[in-house]
Amino acid sequence: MEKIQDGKIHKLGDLAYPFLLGIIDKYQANYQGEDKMSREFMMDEIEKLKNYE
Amino acid sequence: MQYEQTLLGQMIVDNRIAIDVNLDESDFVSQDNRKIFRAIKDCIDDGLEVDIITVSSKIIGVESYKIASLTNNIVSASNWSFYQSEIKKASTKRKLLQLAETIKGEITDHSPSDMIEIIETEITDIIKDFSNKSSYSFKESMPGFIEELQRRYERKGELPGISTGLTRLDDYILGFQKKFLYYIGARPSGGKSALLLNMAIHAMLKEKKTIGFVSAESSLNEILTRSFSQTSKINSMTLLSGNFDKRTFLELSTFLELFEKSKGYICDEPNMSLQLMKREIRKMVRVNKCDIVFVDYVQLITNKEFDLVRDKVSETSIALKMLARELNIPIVVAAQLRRDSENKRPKMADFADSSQIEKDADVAMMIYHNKKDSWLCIEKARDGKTGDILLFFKKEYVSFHPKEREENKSEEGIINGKNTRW
Repeated sequence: MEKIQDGKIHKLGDLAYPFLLGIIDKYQANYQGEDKMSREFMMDEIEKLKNYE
Repeated sequence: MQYEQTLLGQMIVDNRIAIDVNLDESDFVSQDNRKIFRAIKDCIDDGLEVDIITVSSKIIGVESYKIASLTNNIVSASNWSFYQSEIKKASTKRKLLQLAETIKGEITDHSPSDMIEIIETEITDIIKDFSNKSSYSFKESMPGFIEELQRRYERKGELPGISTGLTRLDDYILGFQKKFLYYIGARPSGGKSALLLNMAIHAMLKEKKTIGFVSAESSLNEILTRSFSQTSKINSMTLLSGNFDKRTFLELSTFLELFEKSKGYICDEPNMSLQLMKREIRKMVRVNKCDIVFVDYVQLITNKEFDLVRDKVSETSIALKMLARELNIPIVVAAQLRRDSENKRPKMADFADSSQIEKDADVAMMIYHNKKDSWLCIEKARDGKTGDILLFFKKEYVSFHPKEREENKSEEGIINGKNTRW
Protein backbone atom coordinates (compact mmCIF):
# COMPACT_ATOMS: atom_id res chain seq x y z
CA MET A 1 0.00 0.00 0.00
CA GLU A 2 1.29 3.43 -0.90
CA LYS A 3 2.65 5.45 1.96
CA ILE A 4 0.96 8.83 1.85
CA GLN A 5 2.45 10.91 4.60
CA ASP A 6 5.87 11.33 6.08
CA GLY A 7 6.16 9.53 9.36
CA LYS A 8 3.92 6.69 10.35
CA ILE A 9 0.45 8.21 10.07
CA HIS A 10 -1.60 7.57 6.93
CA LYS A 11 -4.65 9.56 5.90
CA LEU A 12 -7.51 7.15 5.27
CA GLY A 13 -9.07 9.38 2.61
CA ASP A 14 -5.87 9.25 0.54
CA LEU A 15 -5.74 5.47 0.73
CA ALA A 16 -9.26 4.82 -0.60
CA TYR A 17 -8.38 5.31 -4.29
CA PRO A 18 -5.23 3.10 -4.27
CA PHE A 19 -7.23 0.52 -2.30
CA LEU A 20 -9.90 0.38 -5.02
CA LEU A 21 -7.20 0.06 -7.67
CA GLY A 22 -5.91 -2.96 -5.71
CA ILE A 23 -9.42 -4.45 -5.73
CA ILE A 24 -9.58 -4.00 -9.51
CA ASP A 25 -6.25 -5.83 -9.85
CA LYS A 26 -7.58 -8.72 -7.75
CA TYR A 27 -10.75 -8.85 -9.85
CA GLN A 28 -8.82 -8.83 -13.11
CA ALA A 29 -6.56 -11.61 -11.86
CA ASN A 30 -9.24 -13.83 -10.32
CA TYR A 31 -12.68 -13.32 -11.87
CA GLN A 32 -13.49 -16.05 -14.36
CA GLY A 33 -17.15 -15.26 -15.27
CA GLU A 34 -18.27 -14.54 -18.84
CA ASP A 35 -19.57 -11.15 -17.77
CA LYS A 36 -16.10 -10.02 -16.70
CA MET A 37 -15.72 -6.22 -16.77
CA SER A 38 -12.75 -4.78 -18.60
CA ARG A 39 -10.11 -2.87 -16.63
CA GLU A 40 -10.89 0.22 -18.74
CA PHE A 41 -14.58 0.11 -17.80
CA MET A 42 -13.74 -0.25 -14.11
CA MET A 43 -11.24 2.59 -14.23
CA ASP A 44 -13.76 4.83 -16.06
CA GLU A 45 -16.34 4.17 -13.33
CA ILE A 46 -13.88 5.14 -10.63
CA GLU A 47 -12.68 8.20 -12.53
CA LYS A 48 -16.30 9.31 -12.95
CA LEU A 49 -16.67 9.12 -9.19
CA LYS A 50 -13.44 10.98 -8.64
CA ASN A 51 -14.79 13.98 -10.55
CA TYR A 52 -17.45 14.71 -8.00
CA GLU A 53 -16.11 18.14 -7.09
CA MET B 1 10.31 43.14 35.78
CA GLN B 2 7.79 45.89 36.61
CA TYR B 3 4.94 43.36 36.50
CA GLU B 4 6.87 41.02 38.79
CA GLN B 5 7.49 43.71 41.39
CA THR B 6 3.89 44.97 41.26
CA LEU B 7 2.48 41.46 41.70
CA LEU B 8 4.84 40.67 44.59
CA GLY B 9 3.81 43.99 46.24
CA GLN B 10 0.13 43.07 45.81
CA MET B 11 0.76 39.62 47.32
CA ILE B 12 2.28 41.25 50.43
CA VAL B 13 -0.52 43.82 50.71
CA ASP B 14 -3.39 41.37 50.16
CA ASN B 15 -3.12 37.82 51.53
CA ARG B 16 -5.96 36.56 49.32
CA ILE B 17 -3.89 37.36 46.24
CA ALA B 18 -0.87 35.63 47.79
CA ILE B 19 -2.99 32.48 48.16
CA ASP B 20 -4.61 32.67 44.70
CA VAL B 21 -1.52 33.41 42.58
CA ASN B 22 -0.76 30.33 40.50
CA LEU B 23 2.87 30.80 39.47
CA ASP B 24 6.12 29.04 40.18
CA GLU B 25 9.29 30.80 41.37
CA SER B 26 10.91 29.84 38.04
CA ASP B 27 8.38 32.14 36.32
CA PHE B 28 10.24 35.17 37.72
CA VAL B 29 13.29 36.61 35.94
CA SER B 30 15.21 38.16 38.82
CA GLN B 31 16.79 35.97 41.50
CA ASP B 32 15.66 38.40 44.23
CA ASN B 33 12.07 38.28 43.01
CA ARG B 34 12.22 34.46 43.00
CA LYS B 35 13.40 34.46 46.61
CA ILE B 36 10.68 36.90 47.68
CA PHE B 37 8.00 34.85 45.90
CA ARG B 38 9.24 31.65 47.59
CA ALA B 39 9.24 33.41 50.99
CA ILE B 40 5.63 34.58 50.51
CA LYS B 41 4.53 31.04 49.62
CA ASP B 42 6.49 29.67 52.65
CA CYS B 43 4.60 32.10 54.90
CA ILE B 44 1.30 30.78 53.54
CA ASP B 45 2.41 27.16 53.93
CA ASP B 46 3.36 27.89 57.56
CA GLY B 47 0.01 29.59 58.23
CA LEU B 48 1.56 33.03 58.75
CA GLU B 49 0.00 36.35 57.78
CA VAL B 50 1.99 37.72 54.82
CA ASP B 51 3.60 41.09 55.55
CA ILE B 52 7.00 42.75 55.21
CA ILE B 53 8.27 41.39 58.55
CA THR B 54 7.19 37.75 58.05
CA VAL B 55 8.44 37.67 54.46
CA SER B 56 11.80 39.21 55.52
CA SER B 57 12.15 36.53 58.20
CA LYS B 58 11.98 33.80 55.55
CA ILE B 59 14.67 35.24 53.27
CA ILE B 60 18.41 35.23 53.41
CA GLY B 61 20.32 37.55 51.10
CA VAL B 62 17.64 40.10 50.19
CA GLU B 63 17.68 43.44 52.00
CA SER B 64 14.46 44.25 53.93
CA TYR B 65 14.19 47.67 52.31
CA LYS B 66 13.86 45.93 48.90
CA ILE B 67 10.88 43.97 50.20
CA ALA B 68 9.36 47.09 51.78
CA SER B 69 9.82 49.07 48.55
CA LEU B 70 7.62 46.58 46.69
CA THR B 71 4.56 47.84 48.54
CA ASN B 72 5.34 51.56 48.08
CA ASN B 73 3.51 52.10 44.84
CA ILE B 74 0.63 49.68 45.37
CA VAL B 75 -2.53 51.74 45.36
CA SER B 76 -4.92 48.91 44.66
CA ALA B 77 -4.94 45.14 44.52
CA SER B 78 -6.85 45.08 41.24
CA ASN B 79 -5.40 43.75 37.98
CA TRP B 80 -3.26 41.17 39.75
CA SER B 81 -4.49 38.44 37.39
CA PHE B 82 -3.37 40.56 34.42
CA TYR B 83 0.13 40.89 35.91
CA GLN B 84 0.16 37.15 36.63
CA SER B 85 -0.82 36.37 33.05
CA GLU B 86 1.90 38.67 31.61
CA ILE B 87 4.54 37.09 33.87
CA LYS B 88 3.42 33.61 32.75
CA LYS B 89 3.57 34.59 29.05
CA ALA B 90 7.09 36.01 29.42
CA SER B 91 8.17 32.93 31.38
CA THR B 92 6.79 30.60 28.68
CA LYS B 93 8.65 32.51 25.98
CA ARG B 94 11.89 32.15 27.96
CA LYS B 95 11.31 28.41 28.39
CA LEU B 96 10.67 28.01 24.63
CA LEU B 97 13.86 29.91 23.82
CA GLN B 98 15.75 27.74 26.27
CA LEU B 99 14.32 24.63 24.58
CA ALA B 100 15.42 25.95 21.19
CA GLU B 101 18.96 26.38 22.60
CA THR B 102 18.88 22.84 24.01
CA ILE B 103 17.81 21.43 20.63
CA LYS B 104 20.58 23.36 18.87
CA GLY B 105 23.21 22.28 21.39
CA GLU B 106 22.28 18.61 21.72
CA ILE B 107 21.01 17.64 18.28
CA THR B 108 24.34 16.13 17.22
CA ASP B 109 24.70 14.06 20.42
CA HIS B 110 21.41 12.16 20.15
CA SER B 111 19.60 9.98 17.62
CA PRO B 112 16.61 11.70 15.94
CA SER B 113 14.13 9.50 17.85
CA ASP B 114 15.75 10.27 21.23
CA MET B 115 15.82 13.95 20.35
CA ILE B 116 12.13 13.91 19.41
CA GLU B 117 11.37 12.23 22.75
CA ILE B 118 13.33 14.92 24.63
CA ILE B 119 11.59 17.73 22.75
CA GLU B 120 8.20 16.14 23.19
CA THR B 121 8.63 15.72 26.95
CA GLU B 122 9.87 19.29 27.35
CA ILE B 123 7.17 20.81 25.16
CA THR B 124 4.45 18.81 26.94
CA ASP B 125 5.65 20.20 30.28
CA ILE B 126 5.65 23.75 28.89
CA ILE B 127 2.14 23.34 27.45
CA LYS B 128 0.82 21.88 30.72
CA ASP B 129 2.47 24.64 32.71
CA PHE B 130 1.13 27.37 30.43
CA SER B 131 -2.42 26.19 29.90
CA ASN B 132 -3.43 24.08 32.88
CA LYS B 133 -4.35 25.13 36.30
CA SER B 134 -3.96 22.26 38.71
CA SER B 135 -6.76 23.03 41.14
CA TYR B 136 -9.93 25.08 41.20
CA SER B 137 -12.03 26.33 44.06
CA PHE B 138 -15.74 25.44 44.04
CA LYS B 139 -16.48 29.13 43.46
CA GLU B 140 -14.26 29.16 40.36
CA SER B 141 -15.75 25.91 39.05
CA MET B 142 -19.39 26.87 39.40
CA PRO B 143 -19.79 29.17 36.33
CA GLY B 144 -18.29 26.52 34.02
CA PHE B 145 -20.42 23.81 35.59
CA ILE B 146 -23.60 25.87 35.21
CA GLU B 147 -22.70 26.63 31.57
CA GLU B 148 -22.26 22.89 30.95
CA LEU B 149 -25.67 22.16 32.53
CA GLN B 150 -27.16 24.90 30.34
CA ARG B 151 -25.56 23.33 27.23
CA ARG B 152 -26.90 19.91 28.19
CA TYR B 153 -30.38 21.38 28.71
CA GLU B 154 -30.25 23.09 25.30
CA ARG B 155 -29.14 19.87 23.64
CA LYS B 156 -32.35 18.29 24.98
CA GLY B 157 -31.16 14.74 25.45
CA GLU B 158 -28.32 14.86 22.92
CA LEU B 159 -25.35 12.76 23.93
CA PRO B 160 -22.56 14.57 25.78
CA GLY B 161 -20.04 12.36 23.97
CA ILE B 162 -19.43 10.99 20.46
CA SER B 163 -21.97 8.29 19.59
CA THR B 164 -20.62 4.73 19.68
CA GLY B 165 -22.92 3.72 16.80
CA LEU B 166 -24.77 1.33 19.14
CA THR B 167 -27.81 3.19 20.43
CA ARG B 168 -28.29 1.00 23.46
CA LEU B 169 -24.64 1.36 24.43
CA ASP B 170 -24.99 5.15 24.13
CA ASP B 171 -27.88 4.92 26.59
CA TYR B 172 -25.57 3.23 29.08
CA ILE B 173 -22.35 5.24 28.71
CA LEU B 174 -23.57 8.51 27.05
CA GLY B 175 -21.19 8.20 24.10
CA PHE B 176 -17.41 8.61 24.14
CA GLN B 177 -16.62 11.56 26.36
CA LYS B 178 -13.54 13.77 26.49
CA LYS B 179 -10.74 12.80 28.90
CA PHE B 180 -12.23 9.30 29.37
CA LEU B 181 -10.36 6.05 28.78
CA TYR B 182 -12.52 3.20 27.38
CA TYR B 183 -11.51 -0.45 27.33
CA ILE B 184 -13.10 -3.12 25.14
CA GLY B 185 -12.00 -6.60 26.13
CA ALA B 186 -12.39 -9.91 24.34
CA ARG B 187 -10.66 -13.25 23.89
CA PRO B 188 -8.57 -13.66 20.69
CA SER B 189 -10.86 -13.65 17.62
CA GLY B 190 -13.65 -12.45 19.90
CA GLY B 191 -14.29 -9.37 17.77
CA LYS B 192 -12.50 -6.61 19.68
CA SER B 193 -10.76 -5.22 16.57
CA ALA B 194 -14.01 -5.46 14.59
CA LEU B 195 -16.00 -3.61 17.24
CA LEU B 196 -13.28 -0.99 17.64
CA LEU B 197 -13.27 -0.38 13.89
CA ASN B 198 -17.10 -0.37 13.85
CA MET B 199 -17.06 2.46 16.33
CA ALA B 200 -14.25 4.33 14.57
CA ILE B 201 -16.01 4.17 11.18
CA HIS B 202 -19.26 5.34 12.74
CA ALA B 203 -17.55 8.30 14.45
CA MET B 204 -15.83 9.22 11.18
CA LEU B 205 -18.58 8.74 8.59
CA LYS B 206 -21.79 9.31 10.55
CA GLU B 207 -20.69 11.66 13.31
CA LYS B 208 -18.25 13.50 10.95
CA LYS B 209 -15.47 13.39 13.53
CA THR B 210 -11.77 13.26 12.83
CA ILE B 211 -10.57 9.93 14.12
CA GLY B 212 -7.17 8.36 14.79
CA PHE B 213 -6.72 4.59 14.63
CA VAL B 214 -3.52 3.14 16.08
CA SER B 215 -3.12 -0.53 15.26
CA ALA B 216 -0.36 -2.75 16.53
CA GLU B 217 -2.30 -5.77 15.29
CA SER B 218 -3.87 -5.26 11.86
CA SER B 219 -2.11 -4.04 8.73
CA LEU B 220 -3.28 -1.02 6.78
CA ASN B 221 -4.73 -3.31 4.10
CA GLU B 222 -6.74 -5.32 6.62
CA ILE B 223 -8.09 -2.14 8.18
CA LEU B 224 -9.09 -0.78 4.76
CA THR B 225 -10.73 -4.05 3.71
CA ARG B 226 -12.74 -4.18 6.93
CA SER B 227 -13.65 -0.48 6.65
CA PHE B 228 -14.96 -0.86 3.09
CA SER B 229 -16.71 -4.11 3.96
CA GLN B 230 -18.44 -2.68 7.05
CA THR B 231 -19.53 0.45 5.21
CA SER B 232 -20.64 -1.09 1.91
CA LYS B 233 -21.95 -4.32 3.48
CA ILE B 234 -20.01 -6.26 0.89
CA ASN B 235 -18.48 -9.48 2.18
CA SER B 236 -14.82 -8.98 3.13
CA MET B 237 -13.91 -12.33 1.52
CA THR B 238 -15.46 -11.10 -1.74
CA LEU B 239 -13.24 -8.02 -1.58
CA LEU B 240 -10.14 -10.05 -0.80
CA SER B 241 -10.74 -12.60 -3.55
CA GLY B 242 -11.77 -10.09 -6.21
CA ASN B 243 -14.60 -12.45 -7.06
CA PHE B 244 -17.55 -10.07 -7.42
CA ASP B 245 -20.08 -9.07 -10.06
CA LYS B 246 -20.64 -5.74 -11.82
CA ARG B 247 -23.39 -4.59 -9.43
CA THR B 248 -21.19 -5.21 -6.39
CA PHE B 249 -18.32 -3.27 -7.98
CA LEU B 250 -20.53 -0.29 -8.82
CA GLU B 251 -21.88 -0.31 -5.27
CA LEU B 252 -18.41 -0.51 -3.83
CA SER B 253 -17.05 2.34 -5.92
CA THR B 254 -19.79 4.69 -4.69
CA PHE B 255 -18.10 4.58 -1.28
CA LEU B 256 -14.94 6.10 -2.74
CA GLU B 257 -16.27 9.64 -2.34
CA LEU B 258 -17.39 8.94 1.21
CA PHE B 259 -13.95 7.70 2.21
CA GLU B 260 -11.99 10.31 0.29
CA LYS B 261 -13.87 13.08 2.05
CA SER B 262 -13.61 11.44 5.47
CA LYS B 263 -11.14 12.53 8.09
CA GLY B 264 -9.44 9.46 9.46
CA TYR B 265 -5.79 8.78 10.26
CA ILE B 266 -4.23 5.36 10.65
CA CYS B 267 -0.96 4.26 12.19
CA ASP B 268 -0.27 0.54 11.60
CA GLU B 269 3.02 -0.28 13.22
CA PRO B 270 3.80 -3.86 14.22
CA ASN B 271 5.97 -4.05 17.40
CA MET B 272 4.80 -0.60 18.36
CA SER B 273 6.68 0.76 21.36
CA LEU B 274 5.06 2.78 24.11
CA GLN B 275 7.25 5.73 23.11
CA LEU B 276 6.08 5.55 19.50
CA MET B 277 2.42 5.09 20.46
CA LYS B 278 2.49 8.19 22.65
CA ARG B 279 4.21 10.23 19.92
CA GLU B 280 1.77 9.14 17.20
CA ILE B 281 -1.30 9.79 19.36
CA ARG B 282 -0.03 13.26 20.27
CA LYS B 283 0.65 13.93 16.57
CA MET B 284 -2.82 12.70 15.60
CA VAL B 285 -4.42 15.13 18.01
CA ARG B 286 -2.13 18.16 17.77
CA VAL B 287 -1.29 18.02 14.05
CA ASN B 288 -4.19 16.10 12.49
CA LYS B 289 -6.77 17.47 14.96
CA CYS B 290 -8.29 14.08 15.81
CA ASP B 291 -11.36 14.25 18.07
CA ILE B 292 -11.01 10.65 19.26
CA VAL B 293 -8.32 7.95 19.10
CA PHE B 294 -8.73 4.17 18.99
CA VAL B 295 -5.91 1.77 19.96
CA ASP B 296 -5.78 -1.90 18.96
CA TYR B 297 -4.62 -3.43 21.36
CA VAL B 298 -3.00 -2.67 24.70
CA GLN B 299 -1.08 -5.93 25.29
CA LEU B 300 0.75 -5.55 21.94
CA ILE B 301 2.45 -2.28 22.87
CA THR B 302 6.11 -3.06 23.60
CA ASN B 303 8.36 -1.51 26.23
CA LYS B 304 12.05 -2.39 26.61
CA GLU B 305 12.24 -0.89 30.07
CA PHE B 306 10.31 -3.76 31.63
CA ASP B 307 10.80 -7.52 31.53
CA LEU B 308 7.44 -8.56 32.93
CA VAL B 309 4.44 -8.35 30.60
CA ARG B 310 2.31 -7.21 33.53
CA ASP B 311 4.56 -4.17 34.09
CA LYS B 312 4.57 -3.30 30.38
CA VAL B 313 0.78 -3.38 30.16
CA SER B 314 0.41 -1.37 33.37
CA GLU B 315 2.77 1.31 32.06
CA THR B 316 0.89 1.48 28.74
CA SER B 317 -2.44 1.75 30.50
CA ILE B 318 -1.22 4.59 32.75
CA ALA B 319 0.21 6.38 29.69
CA LEU B 320 -3.12 6.08 27.83
CA LYS B 321 -5.00 7.45 30.82
CA MET B 322 -2.62 10.43 31.00
CA LEU B 323 -2.89 11.04 27.24
CA ALA B 324 -6.70 11.14 27.34
CA ARG B 325 -6.53 13.82 30.03
CA GLU B 326 -3.62 15.75 28.53
CA LEU B 327 -5.09 15.84 25.01
CA ASN B 328 -8.69 16.29 26.17
CA ILE B 329 -10.07 13.50 23.96
CA PRO B 330 -11.68 10.09 24.49
CA ILE B 331 -9.33 7.15 23.91
CA VAL B 332 -10.88 3.77 23.15
CA VAL B 333 -8.60 0.77 23.64
CA ALA B 334 -8.99 -2.90 22.81
CA ALA B 335 -7.60 -5.37 25.32
CA GLN B 336 -7.27 -9.11 25.49
CA LEU B 337 -9.02 -11.13 28.18
CA ARG B 338 -7.48 -14.03 30.10
CA ARG B 339 -7.90 -17.58 28.83
CA ASP B 340 -9.87 -18.67 31.89
CA SER B 341 -12.56 -16.11 31.07
CA GLU B 342 -13.69 -18.29 28.16
CA ASN B 343 -17.16 -19.85 28.24
CA LYS B 344 -18.39 -17.62 31.03
CA ARG B 345 -19.50 -14.06 31.37
CA PRO B 346 -16.26 -12.06 31.78
CA LYS B 347 -15.60 -9.75 34.72
CA MET B 348 -13.30 -6.79 35.37
CA ALA B 349 -10.58 -9.01 36.76
CA ASP B 350 -10.43 -10.91 33.45
CA PHE B 351 -8.35 -8.32 31.60
CA ALA B 352 -5.12 -10.14 30.76
CA ASP B 353 -1.76 -9.21 32.25
CA SER B 354 -2.73 -6.24 34.36
CA SER B 355 -4.97 -5.17 37.18
CA GLN B 356 -4.01 -1.61 36.25
CA ILE B 357 -6.55 -1.69 33.39
CA GLU B 358 -9.48 -2.00 35.77
CA LYS B 359 -8.13 0.95 37.78
CA ASP B 360 -7.47 3.20 34.77
CA ALA B 361 -10.62 2.46 32.75
CA ASP B 362 -13.37 5.04 33.04
CA VAL B 363 -15.53 2.60 31.12
CA ALA B 364 -14.77 -1.12 30.74
CA MET B 365 -16.75 -3.37 28.39
CA MET B 366 -16.22 -6.97 27.39
CA ILE B 367 -17.44 -9.00 24.44
CA TYR B 368 -18.85 -12.37 25.34
CA HIS B 369 -20.19 -15.06 22.99
CA ASN B 370 -22.28 -17.95 24.20
CA LYS B 371 -23.75 -20.67 21.98
CA LYS B 372 -26.56 -18.46 20.73
CA ASP B 373 -25.70 -14.82 21.24
CA SER B 374 -23.02 -12.17 21.46
CA TRP B 375 -23.07 -9.76 24.37
CA LEU B 376 -21.32 -6.58 25.32
CA CYS B 377 -20.97 -6.59 29.10
CA ILE B 378 -20.43 -3.12 30.60
CA GLU B 379 -18.64 -3.80 33.87
CA LYS B 380 -17.59 -0.27 34.77
CA ALA B 381 -19.12 3.03 33.63
CA ARG B 382 -18.16 6.34 35.16
CA ASP B 383 -21.12 8.74 34.83
CA GLY B 384 -23.18 5.93 33.28
CA LYS B 385 -24.67 2.61 34.19
CA THR B 386 -23.46 -0.94 33.93
CA GLY B 387 -25.30 -3.82 32.28
CA ASP B 388 -25.28 -6.21 29.34
CA ILE B 389 -26.25 -5.48 25.73
CA LEU B 390 -27.21 -8.06 23.18
CA LEU B 391 -25.24 -7.71 19.93
CA PHE B 392 -25.43 -9.27 16.52
CA PHE B 393 -22.13 -10.11 14.87
CA LYS B 394 -22.21 -10.22 11.05
CA LYS B 395 -19.20 -12.33 10.21
CA GLU B 396 -19.27 -11.59 6.47
CA TYR B 397 -18.90 -7.82 7.04
CA VAL B 398 -16.82 -8.26 10.24
CA SER B 399 -19.35 -5.96 11.87
CA PHE B 400 -21.44 -5.67 15.04
CA HIS B 401 -25.04 -4.46 15.22
CA PRO B 402 -27.43 -4.08 18.12
CA LYS B 403 -29.87 -6.97 18.26
CA GLU B 404 -33.47 -6.02 18.79
CA ARG B 405 -34.19 -8.15 21.77
CA GLU B 406 -34.66 -7.16 25.33
CA GLU B 407 -31.75 -7.80 27.68
CA ASN B 408 -32.26 -10.10 30.64
CA LYS B 409 -34.05 -12.66 28.47
CA SER B 410 -31.14 -14.77 27.34
CA GLU B 411 -32.00 -18.42 27.64
CA GLU B 412 -28.63 -19.11 29.16
CA GLY B 413 -29.25 -16.36 31.67
CA ILE B 414 -25.80 -14.84 31.66
CA ILE B 415 -27.01 -11.78 33.48
CA ASN B 416 -28.80 -13.40 36.37
CA GLY B 417 -30.50 -10.21 37.39
CA LYS B 418 -27.28 -8.27 37.94
CA ASN B 419 -27.49 -5.90 35.00
CA THR B 420 -28.60 -2.28 34.89
CA ARG B 421 -27.16 -1.16 38.16
CA TRP B 422 -26.38 2.51 38.52
